[in-house]
Amino acid sequence: MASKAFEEELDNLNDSDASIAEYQTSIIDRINSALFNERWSPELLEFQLDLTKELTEKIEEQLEEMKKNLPENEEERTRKSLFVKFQQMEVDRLSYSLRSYFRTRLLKIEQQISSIKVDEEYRERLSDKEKEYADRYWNLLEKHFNDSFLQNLSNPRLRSLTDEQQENLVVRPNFNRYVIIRAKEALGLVEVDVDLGQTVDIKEGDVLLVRYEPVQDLLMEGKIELLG
Amino acid sequence: TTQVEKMSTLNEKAIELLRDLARSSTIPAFDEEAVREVTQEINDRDQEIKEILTKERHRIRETSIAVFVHAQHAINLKNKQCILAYLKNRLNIIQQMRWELDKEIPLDIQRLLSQNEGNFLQNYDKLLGDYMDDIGVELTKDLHVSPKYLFIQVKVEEECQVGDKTLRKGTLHFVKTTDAEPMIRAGLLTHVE
Repeated sequence: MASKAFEEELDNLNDSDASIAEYQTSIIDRINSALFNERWSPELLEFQLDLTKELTEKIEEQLEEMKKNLPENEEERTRKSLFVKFQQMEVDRLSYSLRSYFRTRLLKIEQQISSIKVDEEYRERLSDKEKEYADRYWNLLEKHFNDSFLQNLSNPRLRSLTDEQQENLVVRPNFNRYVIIRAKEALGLVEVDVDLGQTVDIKEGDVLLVRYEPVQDLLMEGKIELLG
Repeated sequence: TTQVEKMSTLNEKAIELLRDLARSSTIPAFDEEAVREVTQEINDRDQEIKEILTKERHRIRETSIAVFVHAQHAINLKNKQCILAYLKNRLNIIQQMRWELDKEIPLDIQRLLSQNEGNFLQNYDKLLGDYMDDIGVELTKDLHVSPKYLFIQVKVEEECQVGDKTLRKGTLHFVKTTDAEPMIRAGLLTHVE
């Protein structure tokens, strides 16, 4: 009767909310996962073109929605204000994650610019726009070093920034760093320490503190995520 | 003996330069003089190497000569590395200032930068701006305060404009995080937990 209809109504609501909620969490989860991986990995990871495109579109959609919801009058303003606040929060949240992702990558690019310059494959992990940034940034650095110092060296062979003698000028990512990983699926026996011959049976959901190098491939394959 | 004496100075000057930089809380004035001196050291030593190689050409295969030339060259490379480190570390600080302070770098800090550093800053600013326009994302926003809460409580240190309101010094307000963030960065507001 009334209560049954009410229950059905609740069920419908829950389902639709759940699917909306699922979709929302999905994109936030994905960008946050990409962000954390980028944040904690010592090396620059592959640029997530599809994810960033999707996120930009989602943000624009949300902003469009909010514009449509602009209150017409005082009465609507109070009625809609809470809803608009939630929409704003959602936009802020999505924007912040997107911003952090781009920013983390850019700072890494600046830090490791010499590796990017020297290693073609490494450079391929940058987006087209990031590649342009990297080139311009490198030129700025080169110009500065030349103007401030290198041009005044009498021996022209000393003026180079990238010859083999100066390998120690190139900043390489530190693969010996320790990271906290979480397994997204069961990984079985994984050798976490080559020197000690230590293997661990990693099950789905396990959280471990390990050296980055042995789990590097697992991260690339998407089987683990970095938490710290 | 003079050769031994010269070797013992190694790259003290360059190391001292780096030490000064590390010791400073913000950024010391660009030490034009020190960079010049180390450059001179490198060039002098390079000249010596050239002279040894021509004068002692017939002795080039002797271990003592080879080792000496090698060692001298290594000192030069070390000096070069130190100066480049000095320059790069200063650039890192300058870049960080651009991120934190946007375009508002205080004049007394600007005075501490070399001419080249000033130019670098301008060009870096343009580079960053172009990239942000390109991707359509303002990267310098929300550097320190993540919008975990939509509104936060702030204390007004200096009178300023937040959103469309002017806030008076010494007052407490509950404002939108994203509106308040640039003011918090500039020190005009403090976030009250």
